[in-house]
Amino acid sequence: MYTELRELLYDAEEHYLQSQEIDKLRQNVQSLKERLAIYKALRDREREIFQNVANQLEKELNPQEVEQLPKAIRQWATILRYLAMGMLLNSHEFIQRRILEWITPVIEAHSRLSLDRQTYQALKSELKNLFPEKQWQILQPFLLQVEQTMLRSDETK
Amino acid sequence: MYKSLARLSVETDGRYATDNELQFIEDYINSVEKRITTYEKIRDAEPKIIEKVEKQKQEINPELFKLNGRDITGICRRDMIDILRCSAGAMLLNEMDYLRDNMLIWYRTIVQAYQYDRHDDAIYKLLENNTKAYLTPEEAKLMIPILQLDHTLLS
Amino acid sequence: MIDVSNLLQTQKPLPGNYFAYDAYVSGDYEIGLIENRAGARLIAFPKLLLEAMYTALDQEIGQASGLVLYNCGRWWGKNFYRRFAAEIKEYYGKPLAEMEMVEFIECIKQCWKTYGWGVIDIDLSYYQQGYLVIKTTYSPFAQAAPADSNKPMCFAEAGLLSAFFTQVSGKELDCVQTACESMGEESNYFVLGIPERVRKAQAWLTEGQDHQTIMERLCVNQAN
Repeated sequence: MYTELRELLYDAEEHYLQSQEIDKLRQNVQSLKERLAIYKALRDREREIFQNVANQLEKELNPQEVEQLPKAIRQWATILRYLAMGMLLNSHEFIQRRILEWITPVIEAHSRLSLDRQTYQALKSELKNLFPEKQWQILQPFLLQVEQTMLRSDETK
Repeated sequence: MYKSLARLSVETDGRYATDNELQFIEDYINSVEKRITTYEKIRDAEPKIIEKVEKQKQEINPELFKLNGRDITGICRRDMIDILRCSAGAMLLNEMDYLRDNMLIWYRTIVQAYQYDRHDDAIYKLLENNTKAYLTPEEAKLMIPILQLDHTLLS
Repeated sequence: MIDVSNLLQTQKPLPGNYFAYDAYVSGDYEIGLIENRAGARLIAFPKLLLEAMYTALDQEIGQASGLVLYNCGRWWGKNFYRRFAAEIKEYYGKPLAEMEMVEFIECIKQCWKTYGWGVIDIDLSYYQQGYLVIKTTYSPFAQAAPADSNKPMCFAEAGLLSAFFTQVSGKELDCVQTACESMGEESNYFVLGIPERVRKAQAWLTEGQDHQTIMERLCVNQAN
């Protein structure tokens, strides 16, 4: 969204946009409309999403991990908020710069990757259930980005 | 939109945006088709608009095409074409701030340096009227504020 | 049961990367000012000015120019720390002292990058011996330094780091630069420690020892 709109803006300085470029704008605006709906759903159901995640994990985790759960929930809620904005802007770069670059080393230092992995998985399935397939397809690449950036080191162990 | 989205992402840092804060996106989505038809009309009528502005400018005062005795018809035409195109682009993409920051403020420095701004009052009025003539009142509502911004900043 | 509603409501907004450059720096084209997200004015140094500073100081005061720049850096570092600490406290809702070490380190790394000072890494592996090693790359100070200097040239950075970490640790710390990009090294290394200990590094540096050797000698010296 971000990049696409900026490019159209630069092009429109150089020449009048022609029908192909205007179609590109239409597609972008259509995409923005869908993204906005997903953004609002994530916002309106934030508590419900994380309450379900917490309830499920409380049953599955060992007592030591349950103790760390509130902190993990807060951090994942933070990540999801930035992810939601990045999804709205269609910008992986936004998510990378505004949250992942900062929080990944912080979370790694807590050495609770197993808990984070489980929280992520519970969150992912919660979101997959919440959204219809078409919306899920828009959201999924951003979750994958988070997974690959933050939880990668777990896989290599 | 691009600038507004960037601003939104900073203003709502760490939280979700409210419906109120997202309203500009809704407004844009709802107005984009109208913006497109307005844009296309201006694009297609551009040569005629420029021609009419030049003709009327000539009628008002032929001296407007001269700067210190030098004929600047070509420069005036080029600049007017650029301003109209960038203004139409700003309307299409809802980028008033971008237009202001990236073009108008820079251009203002130039017109002020040549003390040409004293003539611009008449010229931008002509541009506004001649553009408006090709638009429906609804379409004009989208474009006129941009032309008025040009007018205010450049004269 | 965890009450998520309570958990997320009590402390929002949830903070991210405060120093992300797109959020941190903003400008006003009309009046030509740039400022940070706390509303403080920023100043951009063209490379030419930095180069001129080295040249002018060298011509005016020669040998002493390193010391002058170091002391400028000290002054700058003191103010930088004050602002850094205030901004962090405001945004993350806790004072620096209560921050986890990793959070603090990430903040300083992001801040360094956004300010255009290059990339900074903090090496805590000599912590037990009483030293802190800072590595920076792409330093604009090294880039602006005269190419023919045969000693580390990031005096202002060294001064800044010494003042900054003096404030952080609450102990007077000195800083010696042991490697410099301006001498063809891949990175700049700065060693911080209490003055009487870390100053020994200066002599070894004059002998032409490299960073690694200096660190080994410092640690051996410490053990004795």
